[in-house]
Amino acid sequence: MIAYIIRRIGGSIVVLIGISIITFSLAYLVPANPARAIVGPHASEALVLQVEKQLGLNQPLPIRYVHYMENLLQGNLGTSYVLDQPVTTLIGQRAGATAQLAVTAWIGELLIGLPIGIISALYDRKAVDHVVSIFALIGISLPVFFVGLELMYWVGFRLGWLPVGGSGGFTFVILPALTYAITGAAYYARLLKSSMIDVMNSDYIRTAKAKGASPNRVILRHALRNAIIPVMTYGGIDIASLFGGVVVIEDVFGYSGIGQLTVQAINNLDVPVIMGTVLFAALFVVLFNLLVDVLYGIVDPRITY
Amino acid sequence: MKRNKLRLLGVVASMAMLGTALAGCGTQTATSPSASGTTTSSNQPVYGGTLTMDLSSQFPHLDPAKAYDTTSDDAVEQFYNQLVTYQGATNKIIPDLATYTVSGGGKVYTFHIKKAKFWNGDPVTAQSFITEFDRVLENSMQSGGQGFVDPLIQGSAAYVAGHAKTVSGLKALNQNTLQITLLHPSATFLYVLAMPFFSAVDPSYVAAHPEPYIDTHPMGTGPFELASYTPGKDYILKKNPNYFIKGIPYLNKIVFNINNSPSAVLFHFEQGQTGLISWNQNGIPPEDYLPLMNNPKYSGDVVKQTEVAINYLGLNTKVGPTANVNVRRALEHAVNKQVIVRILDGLAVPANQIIPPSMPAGYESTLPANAQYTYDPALAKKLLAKAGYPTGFSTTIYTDNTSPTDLKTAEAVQQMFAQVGVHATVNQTSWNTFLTNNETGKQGIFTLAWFEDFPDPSDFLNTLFNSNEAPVNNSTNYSNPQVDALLNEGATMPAGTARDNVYKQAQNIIMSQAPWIPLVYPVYDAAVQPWVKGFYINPNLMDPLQNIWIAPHSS
Repeated sequence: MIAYIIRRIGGSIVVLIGISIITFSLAYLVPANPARAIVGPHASEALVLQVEKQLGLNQPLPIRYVHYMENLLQGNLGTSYVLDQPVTTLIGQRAGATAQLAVTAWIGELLIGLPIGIISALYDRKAVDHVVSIFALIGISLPVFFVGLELMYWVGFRLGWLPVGGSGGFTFVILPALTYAITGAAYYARLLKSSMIDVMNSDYIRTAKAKGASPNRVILRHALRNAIIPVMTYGGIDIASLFGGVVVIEDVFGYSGIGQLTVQAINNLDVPVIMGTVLFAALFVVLFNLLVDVLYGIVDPRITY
Repeated sequence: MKRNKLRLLGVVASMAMLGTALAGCGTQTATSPSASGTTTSSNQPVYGGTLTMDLSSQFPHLDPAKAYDTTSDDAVEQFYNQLVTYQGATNKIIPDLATYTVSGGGKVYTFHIKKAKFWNGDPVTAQSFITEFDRVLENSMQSGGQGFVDPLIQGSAAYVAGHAKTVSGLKALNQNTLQITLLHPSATFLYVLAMPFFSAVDPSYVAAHPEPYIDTHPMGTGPFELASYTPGKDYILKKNPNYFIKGIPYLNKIVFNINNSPSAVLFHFEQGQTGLISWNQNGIPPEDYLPLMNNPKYSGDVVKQTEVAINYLGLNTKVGPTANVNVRRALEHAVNKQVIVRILDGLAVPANQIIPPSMPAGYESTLPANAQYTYDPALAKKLLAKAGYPTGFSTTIYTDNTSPTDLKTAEAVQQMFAQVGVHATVNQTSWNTFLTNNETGKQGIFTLAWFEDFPDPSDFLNTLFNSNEAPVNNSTNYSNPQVDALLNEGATMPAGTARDNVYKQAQNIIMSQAPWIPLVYPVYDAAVQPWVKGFYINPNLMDPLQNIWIAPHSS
């Protein structure tokens, strides 16, 4: 197990380096010199050249990349061209808000999705299943921004129960998280349902039922544990992408998270911030994939490394 | 300044229309249109209270030497003061931190600095300004203000080049007297001094703190002091009780909630949580404008004013078919500006010349016959044929992604050009890429906007058409020795009719050679709650907050 984890971490580093090279090249291949945008139209040519030099833009691309990686190893992600602050600061300022939204949204998805999945599996092709499936289908089909705006309008504006938008404490997280949960829960429900149906038809469930185990024990201990594997795989990818920022939801609610920072950086071609946020998101994808693989072994003893 | 409204984000912004469509069918019934808050009511101002507003992004800069975007610029005004400033909503320069006299044939400015203190208690002295001038001139500061005073102030060039330790044209005659000597008289120098770049800074504070710290922790003399900044959440400003202008500010506190969701901005205003939409030059989010105007309850709260700015189509005078003056003159007739106004939801005025009508000097009510162009596609086609393009030509219109309206404008022009046989593809890129490409002077046709730095025709004509500004600001590579001579002459003339006429003459020649198709003059808009009093729009600097007070109202 330990050897496996070490191997995987090694592989992850290679992946991250690959991502950094691709992002760096793409971002700098676009002809965009930030120097003029920084100093404005009335600056002299000499000042523009000076700024280019300060930003290291007068050096060839490979050398710039090596410098970037050197700084990265020292925990320095560079400075934003637009906001003129260290990228680590900018990400750090938003990481907490993003984590809060990511975890809340994810738990919301599970709380809605998993029970629906179990119920519709148990009542497969019965009236309950049909009703639940219709709701799941609606959840999948609704655009995120539509659900977000409806919640914003009814819960935030008309009822005034929660803030309509912006960021601050936990009250600002609820509506965005709920939006994500409503639109995302259906995926969990469908995944769990199909895998539960498979499991419920297997021999060991019949054995468990035959030996007189209570229905709850059969479902939760025997069936769910086996059926959860595909859900875990999806769940890992899901929360990893949540940590990378939820662009549309952040945008609808004006929530200051990593997603907004990323899109702003891309719009402004603020390369250091693009690099930082892409690597930040990639880090979580790699991390959660590793975590999921390790969890497989814990949940399903048949899987060994 | 070139259009660089710092519009951060907006990938799914248009969805706000949906949200407000919902809001529109709510049960709220329209009450009588509320009184507009444009002018101070006759009521006695009330002290105290908190004004809450939404802010689309964090302020990129709070250091006056660095603030040169529409979001930072006006923030600096709350924290800092300059030597002189604009009076209310006018273009008139009045003393701010100093009274002044001009001597030496318009080359020597003497400022008598008023008694004022920074928030930390340090007094404002002549050195407070000299330090700031030095900072702006310093190359390492990367200040957009450098070009406004270098080489104008005597000795600035030597200082910038590192040949001198001080700027010879900046002298503290005593503690409270500052003397600035220019190389030549300048009718615009006082306007330059009113820019946020040249604020009073505390020399000991500047010396004691590193640059990035100063950029986020202002130390000024302004009406409001930064009490706290919670990244991603809010800025809280509190009243400066020792403000050097007695009697203001009225507000105790200002809260800027960071929130760039147009729907949330609208709901907050309708809930009465926020007092203003758009206190600065950025205007109401485009997505919120029609919902506000279409709701009788709020349409009366919207105030508008034509900006001293222009959206234009640049026609490169050196590259491609537009290098031919007859092609450019033909294209002038191909554009229907009324359509562009409609595309911009009516927030624009058709433009027929470079100088906007709200500019105090240089605007011409009638243009000479060879400098004005009517919309006439048939004539455009005929002129194109005469210029050697009977079947038109193919070209590219370059535009950027700063605002959703840029692409709409470019596409409208694309269709109008197609009607006269000119087939254009639209190339939209990020602002940085656009700027980089544009400054090579190789983009044949492009859309761009110019917002005044100060209310003087030279800021448009000299900056955008003098051949020595090509290709950076003069991106059409326009070059005409006669125009250059006029512009250089105007630069040193004293303000007055003779100088205005020089610029009018220059504009007439430029317009007759058609390096630009002037499209529209954009209109600034803001929404003001009826209980927010004292709001006004200054065309140059938005600094109404110190004069705003909140009338008693039921929330």
